[in-house]
Amino acid sequence: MSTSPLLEISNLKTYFYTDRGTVKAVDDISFSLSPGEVLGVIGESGSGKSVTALSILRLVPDPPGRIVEGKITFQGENLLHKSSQEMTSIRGNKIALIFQDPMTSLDPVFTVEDQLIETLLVHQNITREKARKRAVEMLSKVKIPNPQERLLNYPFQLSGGLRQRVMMAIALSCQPNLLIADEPTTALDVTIQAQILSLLADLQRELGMATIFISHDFNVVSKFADRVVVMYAGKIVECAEKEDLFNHPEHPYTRNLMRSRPLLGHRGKLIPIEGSPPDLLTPPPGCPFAPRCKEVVDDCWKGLPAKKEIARDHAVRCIKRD
Amino acid sequence: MQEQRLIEVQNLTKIFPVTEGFIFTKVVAELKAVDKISFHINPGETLGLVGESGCGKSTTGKLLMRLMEPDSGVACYRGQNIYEMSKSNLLHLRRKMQIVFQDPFSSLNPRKTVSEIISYPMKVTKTYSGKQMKKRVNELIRLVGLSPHHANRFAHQFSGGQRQRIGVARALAVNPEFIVLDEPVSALDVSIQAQIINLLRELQDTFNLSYLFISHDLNVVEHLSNRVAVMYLGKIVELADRDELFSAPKHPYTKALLSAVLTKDGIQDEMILEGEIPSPTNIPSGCRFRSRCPRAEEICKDREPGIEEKANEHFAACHFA
Repeated sequence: MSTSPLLEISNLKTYFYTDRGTVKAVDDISFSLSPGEVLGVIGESGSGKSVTALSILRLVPDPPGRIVEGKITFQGENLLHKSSQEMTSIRGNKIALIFQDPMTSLDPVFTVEDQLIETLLVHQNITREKARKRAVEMLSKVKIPNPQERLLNYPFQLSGGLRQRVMMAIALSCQPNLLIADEPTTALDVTIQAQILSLLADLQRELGMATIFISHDFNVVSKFADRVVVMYAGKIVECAEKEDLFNHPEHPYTRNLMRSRPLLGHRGKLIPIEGSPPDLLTPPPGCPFAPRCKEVVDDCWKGLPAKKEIARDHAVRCIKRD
Repeated sequence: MQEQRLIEVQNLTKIFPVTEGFIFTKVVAELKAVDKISFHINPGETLGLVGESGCGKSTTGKLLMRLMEPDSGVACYRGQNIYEMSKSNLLHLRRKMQIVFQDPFSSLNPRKTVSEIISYPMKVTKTYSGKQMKKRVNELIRLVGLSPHHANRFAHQFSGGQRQRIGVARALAVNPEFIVLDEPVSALDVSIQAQIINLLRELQDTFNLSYLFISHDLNVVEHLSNRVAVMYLGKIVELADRDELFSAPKHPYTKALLSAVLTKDGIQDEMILEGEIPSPTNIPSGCRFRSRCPRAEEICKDREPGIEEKANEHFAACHFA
């Protein structure tokens, strides 16, 4: 692609220093994102997806966490060199975040209006009155009925779906260049999930912001992403265009993960991945997936396989793929 | 089928009072968690129970186990009404019916070892004791795919998937015929879910178990069930054979649920429902789904559709089905 990337992460390492040892939650990952592109990040709990999101926003709790190494270049500037004041003006303004849990990510003692307007007043040079008008606009943009009345509600008066819409309104109110959605629909019911996803997709198309969409759910990611990154134990094991990844998964983990899910119309026995993800306090030497991999050979234990480009825009970390 | 039904539920209803006030509490509303539902389960069969949160599926599971008393209706186990059983008969029933809960973190006592957890139901129901019990514990541990040296560990030393195996072993301890599985894989990671699903299938084949499989995940339900019931706001809105339900759903709610699911051939055209799930304390008049139904008309407001047999063994509660 000829356009310069909006976000480029190179060799990012975010470690947590705990009493029991060092947890390499994100260990040497690199990816980039073009303006307007939607990147899906798939992984199980503990794979480092959320820590990646927090690292981009420099919200990793320190201590115990620390970004040890790497570069996060956003619009040509390294975010890791920004002062905390500069980061404040970027967070919520140029880069916005939607969390998984709409129950805890809104402040229970403030009204929807307070929380929406706060973001606008901090980042944009506008009057309270204008901010209020904009807040109503945003609420109707996320298709909340009766936005005027809803402004006066407290979060506990809203259902899960409505809260997630309010979160989206707050996140999008400053027209960010990058939206990070961390499992935005996981806590919601199936039919509400479908509503929120289609709304998010519409808004993404309309506003054109680049989006990092984090999820453990292939189903959800496949509806939404242009390109997909698969994470396992703090590392990116595979990265490809969506169609490519779903039709030709190459990494044994990706392949097995897809086969282990029940699909409608598929009646055979499921092929599970044996064992469980590694304890990141004592990661296995070499490939992190080696202990559970059916294709494992001796060399897998000798070191992390290098990233290999096996097709155009399709990279995989596995020594058995050429 | 003239075979005796294992479980037969008729017009089962559970109403929770919604109270206000602290000392002088008064009932301000009624929450009909389960509203006159009827279904049956045959021996060796899995009935899937699907619905969104608050639709009453877990309450149904607990009512079947008599972990709570219903307000009306009956549930029979091999023809015996379980709500009229005496205490000693109930204890006997507990040998036949067991439950596995969703959350493997809160459903196991952190102060007990695995072998204590698994042997507890045997002690309560006096099915095994002494050496036999010990033997049985080891047998169960192996059966669910753990190793014998795990017996003396505590629950917190295990991962989510392993904990759920312990929960399954506890349910199997007394040789039940019927197990209520209340979202047994929802709290687990994708790569672990398949392990537990396969385990449940193997155990069913080996011991000819019957399951009530409660889940919000249609993919999982389709994989495990023989028949499927769909619940919405306390009512069963559709009930049919698995293949029939998934290939020819009749209720608009089922259609919407199905359209949000990934199939073997990719994603289907989505049917997105408008609006929110109404509060179960304030259920719409007439058809309770009408506030979100794309097909709703006047009649849906005035008259509640009963659940009727629309095709062979295919029941739906919709005026237009």
